[in-house]
Amino acid sequence: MTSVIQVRGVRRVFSRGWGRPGAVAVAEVTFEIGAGEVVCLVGAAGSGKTTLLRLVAGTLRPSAGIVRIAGATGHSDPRRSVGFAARDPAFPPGFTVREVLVYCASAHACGRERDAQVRDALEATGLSDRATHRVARLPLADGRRLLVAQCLLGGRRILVLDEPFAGLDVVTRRDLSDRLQRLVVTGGSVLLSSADPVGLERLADRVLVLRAGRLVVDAPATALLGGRVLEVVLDVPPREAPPGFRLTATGLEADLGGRTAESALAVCRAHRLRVRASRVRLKTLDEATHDAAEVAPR
Amino acid sequence: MGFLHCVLSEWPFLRIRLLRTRLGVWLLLLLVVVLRLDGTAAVSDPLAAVLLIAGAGATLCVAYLAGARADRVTLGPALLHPRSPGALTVGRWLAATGGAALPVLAAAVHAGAGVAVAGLVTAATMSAWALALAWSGGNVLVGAWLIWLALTGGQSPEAMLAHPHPGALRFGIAGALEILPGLWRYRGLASLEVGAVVHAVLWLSIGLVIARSRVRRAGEAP
Repeated sequence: MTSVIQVRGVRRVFSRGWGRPGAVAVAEVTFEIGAGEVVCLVGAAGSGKTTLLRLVAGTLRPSAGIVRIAGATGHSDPRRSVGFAARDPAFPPGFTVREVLVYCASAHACGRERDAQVRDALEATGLSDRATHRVARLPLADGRRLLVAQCLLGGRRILVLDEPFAGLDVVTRRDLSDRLQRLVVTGGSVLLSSADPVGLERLADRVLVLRAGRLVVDAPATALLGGRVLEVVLDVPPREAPPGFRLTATGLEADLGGRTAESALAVCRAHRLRVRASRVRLKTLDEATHDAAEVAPR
Repeated sequence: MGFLHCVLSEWPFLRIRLLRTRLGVWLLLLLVVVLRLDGTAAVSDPLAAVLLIAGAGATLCVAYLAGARADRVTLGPALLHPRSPGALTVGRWLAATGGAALPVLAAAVHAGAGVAVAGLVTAATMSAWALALAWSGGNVLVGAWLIWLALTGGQSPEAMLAHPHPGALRFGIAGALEILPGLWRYRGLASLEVGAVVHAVLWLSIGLVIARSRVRRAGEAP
């Protein structure tokens, strides 16, 4: 797979002034993103996700390391290849959806080419019927769609999206997710961040987990999602969990790994725990990333 | 796209704000009120009226085109596309100057070419300076500047110090009138006085440089 984004040993330190040591937002991060790949960057608030996205998008310069976009050198403008959508939609007041896109597209093209870019972006994001709506009255979901539409202007195929699903309901999330997948099918690449990876299973090819500015996990989503979890509801939860289990609000929980559910339940019985009910389910992405981040070296 | 193309892409701000906000109404009111006051004055002074319309009109245009918080927040996102802070600044400045030029030209129709040129150059200088204020401190600073213009009008520092006991406040105001863009000084633009032209060009440049640096900083904000 051809890599469209290469990040090598990138570090970003924010100066605090007056000779005080700077705050390290991103430390020695290295990864690559291939064409047609959707990579999800997850981590707690303040872990450096937005800073890393801005470094990739070229709106921030790294203190050290290299960010290379589609084989370009450091002198070319990354804004021509990478579309970046910030977390919070911000559009000029009084403008309509189409006028916002025309304004943004004017930096890429003019005349008919500009109008074609605007039309394509409206269609790709499902905003064609809202083109004449004022941006100030747009619901959050359409605001996020408009942010993605802006990213597509100028024929850009690399999208860097900061929390594109934040605050969206399930239906809108699914719709936006499908539209991003359609873009990827046609050769685009997406790097998106999320503080809450719930529901990204369908979209993400790879998951990067950031903790305190460091990349602690870089794994295919399928590898993270393969695990099965045994949930056990107990009459009386124990004070300490048996080996291989962890306490939950209603009882115990264990990653099955290679074990069978019966062998795991046998452990419960051996510890004289009265099992009321049990079930096996697949690990969700948020559990998988949480667990992966927990076991990663600090 | 080139610098000029990006500059021109800022023009829709003027059209949209003129038609969809109260900017058009304010400019019309400014024109009518100032011309009415000039018409009823004992001695009519069309140059002073045009300069006041230029200064206040440019400041109003900047307030509506660039000074609102929502507009300042969009400066960073605007730079996510391949346009430079300089092009954005010059484009927005030209749009504000263009907006102020409408009442200036309307007021200067019967006053002669010299007055019209003085009004246009004053509008250009004032909008550059107001743009620097707007992107440094928002419409609070722009509003303060508008009040300053309304209170001082075309008064010169000499007139301010004509009082037998000027006091520190009058000295301060006279100093500010001497240094900052002032309508009294730009009267000289009508006769192409070198001092007035240099002062106007200097403050126009200072305003644009400050505004551009604020845009660049908005694009780099974490």
